[in-house]
Amino acid sequence: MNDAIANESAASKVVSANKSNGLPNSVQKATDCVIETHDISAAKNIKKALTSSDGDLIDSSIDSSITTIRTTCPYCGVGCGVLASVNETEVLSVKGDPEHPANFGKLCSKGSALAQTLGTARRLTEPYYQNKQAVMKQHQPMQLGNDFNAIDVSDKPLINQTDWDTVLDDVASRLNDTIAKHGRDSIMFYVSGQLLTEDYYVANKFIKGFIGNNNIDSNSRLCMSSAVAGHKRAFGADLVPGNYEDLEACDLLVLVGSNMAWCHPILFGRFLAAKKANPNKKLIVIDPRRTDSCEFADLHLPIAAGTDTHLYNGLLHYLDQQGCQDDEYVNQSLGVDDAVNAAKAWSIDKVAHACQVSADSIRQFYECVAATDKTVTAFSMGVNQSQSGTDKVNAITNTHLFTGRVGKVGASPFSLTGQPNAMGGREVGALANLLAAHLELDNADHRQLVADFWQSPQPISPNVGVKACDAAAAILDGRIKAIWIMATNPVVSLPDADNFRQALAACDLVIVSDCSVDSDTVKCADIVLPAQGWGEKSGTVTNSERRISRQRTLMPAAGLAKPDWWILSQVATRMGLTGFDYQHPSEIFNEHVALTADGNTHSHRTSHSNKNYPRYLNLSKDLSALMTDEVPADKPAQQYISQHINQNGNQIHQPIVLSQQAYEEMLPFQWGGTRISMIDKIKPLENEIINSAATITKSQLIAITPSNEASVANVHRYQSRQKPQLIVDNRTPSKHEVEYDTQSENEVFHVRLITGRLRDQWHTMTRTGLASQLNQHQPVPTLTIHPNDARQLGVQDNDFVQLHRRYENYGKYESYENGVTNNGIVIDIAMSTARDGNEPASTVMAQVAISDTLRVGDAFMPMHWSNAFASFARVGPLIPTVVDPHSGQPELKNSAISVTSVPMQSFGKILVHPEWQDAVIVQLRTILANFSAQSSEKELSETKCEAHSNNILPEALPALTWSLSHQNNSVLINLASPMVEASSTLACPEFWQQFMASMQSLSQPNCQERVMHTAFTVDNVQNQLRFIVTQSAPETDSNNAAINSGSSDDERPSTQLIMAIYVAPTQKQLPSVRWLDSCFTDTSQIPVNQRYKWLLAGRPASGYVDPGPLVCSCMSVGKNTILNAITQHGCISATAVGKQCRAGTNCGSCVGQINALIAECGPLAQA
Amino acid sequence: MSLSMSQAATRVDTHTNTHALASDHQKNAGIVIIGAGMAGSRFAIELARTQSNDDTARLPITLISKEPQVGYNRIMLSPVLAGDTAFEDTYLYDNSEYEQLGITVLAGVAVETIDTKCQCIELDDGQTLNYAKLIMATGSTARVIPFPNHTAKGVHVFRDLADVTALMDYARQGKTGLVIGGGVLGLEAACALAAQGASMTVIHMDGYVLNRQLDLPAAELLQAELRRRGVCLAVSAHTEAIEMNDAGEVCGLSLKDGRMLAADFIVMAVGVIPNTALAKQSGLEVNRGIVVDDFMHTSCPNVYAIGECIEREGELFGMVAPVNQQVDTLVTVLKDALIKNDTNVIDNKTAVPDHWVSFVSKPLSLKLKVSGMSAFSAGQIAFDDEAADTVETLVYRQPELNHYHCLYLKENKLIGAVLYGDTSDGSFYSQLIIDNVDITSIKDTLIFGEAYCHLDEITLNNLPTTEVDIEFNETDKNVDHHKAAELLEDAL
Repeated sequence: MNDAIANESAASKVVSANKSNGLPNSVQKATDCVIETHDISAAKNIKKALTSSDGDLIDSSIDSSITTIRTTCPYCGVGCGVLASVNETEVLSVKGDPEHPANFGKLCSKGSALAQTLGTARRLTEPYYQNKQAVMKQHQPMQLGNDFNAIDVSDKPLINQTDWDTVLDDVASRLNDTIAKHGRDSIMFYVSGQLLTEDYYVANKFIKGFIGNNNIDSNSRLCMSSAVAGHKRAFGADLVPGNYEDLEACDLLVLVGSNMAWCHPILFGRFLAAKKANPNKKLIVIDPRRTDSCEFADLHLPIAAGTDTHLYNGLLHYLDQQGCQDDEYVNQSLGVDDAVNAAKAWSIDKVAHACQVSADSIRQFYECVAATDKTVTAFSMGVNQSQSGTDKVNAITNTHLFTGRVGKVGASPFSLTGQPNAMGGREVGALANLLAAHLELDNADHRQLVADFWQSPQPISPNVGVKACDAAAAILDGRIKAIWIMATNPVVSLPDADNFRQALAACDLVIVSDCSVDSDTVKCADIVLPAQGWGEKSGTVTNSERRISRQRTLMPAAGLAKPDWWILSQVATRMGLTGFDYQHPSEIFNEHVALTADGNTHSHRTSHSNKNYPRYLNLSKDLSALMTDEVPADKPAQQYISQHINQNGNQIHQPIVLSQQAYEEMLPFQWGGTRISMIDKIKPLENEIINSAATITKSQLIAITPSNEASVANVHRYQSRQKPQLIVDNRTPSKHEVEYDTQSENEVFHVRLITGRLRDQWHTMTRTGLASQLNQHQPVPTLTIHPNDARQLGVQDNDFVQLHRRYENYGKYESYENGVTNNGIVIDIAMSTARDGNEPASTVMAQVAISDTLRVGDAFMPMHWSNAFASFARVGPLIPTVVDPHSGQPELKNSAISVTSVPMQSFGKILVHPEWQDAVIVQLRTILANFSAQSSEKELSETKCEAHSNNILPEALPALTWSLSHQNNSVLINLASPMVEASSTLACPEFWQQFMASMQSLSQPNCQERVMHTAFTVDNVQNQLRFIVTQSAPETDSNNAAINSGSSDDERPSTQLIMAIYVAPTQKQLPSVRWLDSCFTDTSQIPVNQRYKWLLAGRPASGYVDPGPLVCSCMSVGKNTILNAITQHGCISATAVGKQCRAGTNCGSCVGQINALIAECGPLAQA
Repeated sequence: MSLSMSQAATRVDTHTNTHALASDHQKNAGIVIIGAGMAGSRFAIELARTQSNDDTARLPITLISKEPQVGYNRIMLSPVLAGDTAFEDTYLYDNSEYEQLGITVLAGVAVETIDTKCQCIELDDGQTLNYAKLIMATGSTARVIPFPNHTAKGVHVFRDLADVTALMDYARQGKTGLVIGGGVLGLEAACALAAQGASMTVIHMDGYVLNRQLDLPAAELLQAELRRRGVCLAVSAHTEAIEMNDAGEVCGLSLKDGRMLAADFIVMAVGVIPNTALAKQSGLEVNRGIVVDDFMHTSCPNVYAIGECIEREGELFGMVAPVNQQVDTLVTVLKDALIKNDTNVIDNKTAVPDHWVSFVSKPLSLKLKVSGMSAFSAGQIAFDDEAADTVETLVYRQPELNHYHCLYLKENKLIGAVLYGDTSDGSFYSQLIIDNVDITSIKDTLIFGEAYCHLDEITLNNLPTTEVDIEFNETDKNVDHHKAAELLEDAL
């Protein structure tokens, strides 16, 4: 209802050109063109009237219903501008916004595929109650713990649909009850970098200002909280000293712990373009893995994981030795001597030893940095996601402060944020240890200011709230009774992910608002609320360079989905709280703007305030040119900037707001201006600081004293605190201990697990997983290991392995505890209550990808896979919870695991119509459950010795493993089974015929309309099966249906493929799926009498050339096509290949792969 | 075009020409073929075609046919009975072809005696013919089991045009008929008669019909299809006696289990017996059939035998393919047989000329000739339990269309195939069985038929291990060397 009011007020107007006068540069630059707005369905949009620079814009005059809307990509922190062509109901296509200052018209593979991820497929469309225990049991591939099974879940329905009014009232009253019963601290919000700033703001205000605790954390905790902590230590505030232009202006770009080519491809492309124009620019990559970013690097330092601090201490020492210090900067900075002294120990040789790379390469790196004033050090998750992440950030920043290479054109440290709005979350303070608007949680004055601004009913709590990685423990020890998870999938993404899942199972009230059914976390909710997704919601996001851009509504929401701010506001209001009567996101944004100005000496409106808390973040200053003095008549003025002034003094009532129209038309701008030049700005601030006794300090170098064991991979630990109990109880050692003690070294192989992103996937794949072309790059879960390790393990490419957590006795690593601060110890105590050693650990399996891009002993597995997309590929359960003491960010890239090879009996591919996807998965789960039960029975009867003599882990090896990937017209399920009995079941046509029968009986209303047909081939010896299901148009005369068997189906041309199952003892025997996928829309190209044979064979009898695995996602070019360009057309450069077949011509993130193909096959072609 | 003109021109005086040639022949002893069935007529034509390339060395050919209809395709009688084909369309060759090739055809004449010493034969019209080479192609006769009352009126066999005509009468009157024997011929007859209006039941001794040619799943599909077509089945049924009424007409059949089945007529389709009387009386070695060696020699010099009348290593031949093979073998033996006398007889194989291609008995294939109902089988499809464990089966099924294919593999060779519903790949599979080649490289697509199996892959795919291909060809005693050589050539 509120939406409707909001939308009615949206009017079509043309912004007059003179509006742009007096705007900040960044804003003004972009508003030089005329923008007009239109009402389209339920949304207000901006249409660009001018043709874009490449003249390729859809001409709206051809079809007046097609409009182009300017919005922002929802993926990485680069925050690219997107132009979406929409009609009244859907987004037709997207392309890069040529005028957006982040990407200037370019989009990466993921962004280019945005249009494919929209629509109602796999969406949550209405609110519902869920029988959490039953659903979790159904979705947990392995048996759950004993407690869990004890709960009788059989008689309740899995899901109960409800309506918004009921569910919102219910949530409100249950949250009130929880507070009444368990206190204000018993509620937690877990939010996300996918939320818009407005959503974030409301969530933060709701819990900190009104529920009255700081138990709100964001998945940004896993992303850039170490960068925040490092920035605050170094600059006194969460500032980003560089921007994107610096990447182009620098002479040396150092990438630390960042596969920028894959994770921030557009930004990387900007650097590469500059490097191409000026080949003297250098790229140095510091990463244990030789990623695709190294393809373009002048130097790659494959340092051992976790040793970045050693390397940068050594660099600081070297820079000191070489006299590279910038005296002006150093004089203004604190802690210089300490930092330099701490670094003194780190000679190049010592660094080389610690980092396990050659001294020569380190010297080369150091010399290059010393010689290059314009150096940008860009860092990402390899730095942040570490138990020493904050130290890594500061070790890097130290070298920049020492040389004065901060905030200058082409010279700065730069944090590449992973999420679209991680920065927005920082701005509104939606983390457990932040306040809001860059104010400090541990500052009582700041808390008071914010509480006053919000008109909070009680003071804001001074205590740091429960952070993401502490949440499981806080729930399990009873501190948290209700958790509300928004737009994130922690059951997949958190370390010790199973522990968190267990916690959700035990939690009194779990509310999840999300837009996708494919979030594993949704399956753990008591109440599921459908949130709007990208293209539906409207608000602002802030990218890595502090640039605020609008995400705009492109199309009507799916089903009953609502914006997160609306859901939150509704619950708050229904809880009886005031200050949440927002009608439109612009009102929230205005309030946020006002808070950034509140008490900020930079605000021209509040100069007479008694207390000033100067911050760079002051959006009212940045947006002053767009502000108006008029307040909408229907809105009270109190939430706007004037409100605070009235409370504190005798100011004239003079509200300053951004009109709704101005908000709608707002173009991207950087807060704090285009550049925060640290040294210039610090001086004026300093004076104010002295006067106001505020907390902004000089920039500071931090003395880094890295642990000698920095590179030791983290293990799961048994709790020492439970040890006495264990002895008293005289309990036998836990299962794991027995296993690993008896395993011989040959079969259990120890590696260090590094997690990370794939080029074409995003987070837990709920969105990117829908775009078929994005699933081609790496369609199955893989574990990448070095060829030497593969040889020792005795595995080859595509072989299956099982990944195990590695346990150590706590006592062994007592030294760890010494290094852990109070914060860390609290976590460990908390964890001890959660773990009793009997919790079931999820099985994790993957297919081996052998590559020398990894160090010997390292293994890489993507972070993306979830239960929704793979049965056993959630990497989270393997990762022990070890967090950075300063930032609370978990170490996700340095876990000790062991790997065992899993010989598979059979492999399978199932292509299925999307409507049948869930049913097929249920069928597979049934096999899994049956055989798991059988094998555990078997296990009881068999002696343990036998199992151990075989050195397999029968209790942990599932009967079946699968992963799925969306194709253009179907869903592909890859499966494999290590068990003969399960393989036989899979290869049994009767099994699938039963499934068919049950599907037909389920869809009885449609039964008359559609006729299903099956055909199969089976090999008795090999357990080989091919089974297809087709569906044909209704029979006009139902009487002769099956009687005249020979001709009835053959003569019908309109047959559609519904399901195709292939099971074989080797992967090689399975057909490729491209052609089959096309048959899900149309089989008319198949001669009718050949129909079943073609489908069973998986290809036409002749004349079909498979394009091969997709290399270029953007242009949909397969490997075979590229090889053809290289070998048949003599293309010996990526450019030539691009000209020939368009591969690599869009985002360029596959150019590395193309070059590798050229290197491999080019010489052959020439010879 | 010009060919047909000349045919029309020569046809006018066929009769006179024949007689002229026959008397001519007496002087110049040539090649005489007794029996103008599928084997005899085909051999005459094939040999003449081979000879015509080499006019200097030719011997005259005489083809003697007992039936007035010369060289019709007996296996096409089922479609004729079903009314799908006209009898005229079953002739293998046009009359003019015999003439053009200079073959003397003596139709409606039987051979009385053979004098193997004088190398001459006596016909029932009094003529005597000398021969240089004599070919026995006397065929076979339908077997009649002497059940009680088997001579009753209305008990028929299904062998020639006369039978077709008689049976059609019953069908058109809508009578009730029984077919004894669920073999190919019996089923074809039953279907044909049912289609013509008769009410038919097939009596079969074994558990399912075509039990020699089909496996159980295919037979079940076939039986279901037969029932849909109104052909009833009594399997595992053993005939006790044929029931006869007072008028001496068939009125039914009693089974050993006590059942009685009513019938107006009975077709006995229980196999054939080689026609060996003439051979026996002429002193040729005869067992169940006329005994021949690998080159179709009988026990008598210059006397050969081909077709359904022969027996080789205890085996009889009732199918087209082996008969054609025998024809081909004999053509190689006789194509340059000049006046020179032949000395090679059974047990004296010392001097086999290089160009002779021996007859090798190969797995047989079957094709059911009932319109809209196709079954095919080739090779070995039945196995005892022990053998079954080592046999790999590839099965294709399309339940709604009743398509069923089953391929039997042993040691990566195709040894048997049963196709039901869609038999278009039958010849492909039977060739693979005959060629006995290793199909490893095409195994995964074999079940999808010839279109998916590029035979050159058999060798191409194995290029890295070429020696293996050659080895299997050399070591396997049953392999067809010529075929293997061709395959290798194709691959290279």
